[in-house]
Amino acid sequence: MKAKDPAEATGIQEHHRVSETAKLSTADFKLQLTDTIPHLRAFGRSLSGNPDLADDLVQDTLLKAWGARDRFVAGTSMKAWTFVILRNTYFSNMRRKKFTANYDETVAERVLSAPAPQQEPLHLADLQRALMEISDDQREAVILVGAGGYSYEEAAEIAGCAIGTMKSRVSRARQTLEGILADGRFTDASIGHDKSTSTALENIIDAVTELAP
Amino acid sequence: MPQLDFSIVGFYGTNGALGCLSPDETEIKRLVLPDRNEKHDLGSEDSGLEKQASEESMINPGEVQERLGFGLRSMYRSVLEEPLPADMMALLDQLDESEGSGRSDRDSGTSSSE
Repeated sequence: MKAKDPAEATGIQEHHRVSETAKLSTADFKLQLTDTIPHLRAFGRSLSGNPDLADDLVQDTLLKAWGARDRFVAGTSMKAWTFVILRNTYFSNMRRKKFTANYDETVAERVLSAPAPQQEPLHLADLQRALMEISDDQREAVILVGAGGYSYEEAAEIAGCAIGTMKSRVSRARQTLEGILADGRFTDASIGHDKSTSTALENIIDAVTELAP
Repeated sequence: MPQLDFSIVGFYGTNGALGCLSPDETEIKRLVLPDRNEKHDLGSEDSGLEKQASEESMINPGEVQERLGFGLRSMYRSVLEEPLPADMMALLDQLDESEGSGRSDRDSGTSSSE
């Protein structure tokens, strides 16, 4: 998995060349960073499946973002910039086995209300557990697009992949999740989850996308 | 496209983390919402449950997709609505203060050298 530089992913380097002065004051930077904390927590929790791990991840992200604040350019997306830092930290920790994604058993009885009265309610635990059944790349994709409301383009920039790859990941993630939720097919993969991510097909799609005009 | 209700039927702990139901409440919830794993164990002894299981297996794909989308957005939104943990705000304040004191130290060093 590519660990993309936040500045590169959010077009900051390009902006940097255009204007050396487009920097936020410390106060404004702190304000914008504070505003992103709820989103970082939501992204981190969906990604790791665990509130405590997610909050550790957010704290690491805040520290790194603060340390790199000179590289953040006013007018670019603080949310996207910090999401890149968070996901890079997460995947780096996963690789170093600092922690493993796991679903949170304390939410086992929590229920997400049904979209329509005639539909069966969805257990949060079922959804979280199902998310842990899919690959890290697919989970990240479906969280960014399906839960966070990012466009495919924005999500692809955050994840450091081609738009086609992002679309493919979201599509496959949805199909798999739908299957799991419809049939209740859970495996032990959701406990101590650790899956490799990029597939050969994705590498091919990436290569084709890069070659395309 | 009907307007979706994003409200969450959930429980929050005092520290903002998700909490658990009391044993009584858990029992009530299980009566209303049979656990999927339990459902398979009940088998054919109860024709009502068998019928229910059969109906569930015929959920149409659009409905599953709608539930999934709704569930993902609800899960994400529920975290957004939690209060910010005090330690994260404290961390930012601490970073800001240490930055401020570092700046004033540098400033005073510059002025004394001049």
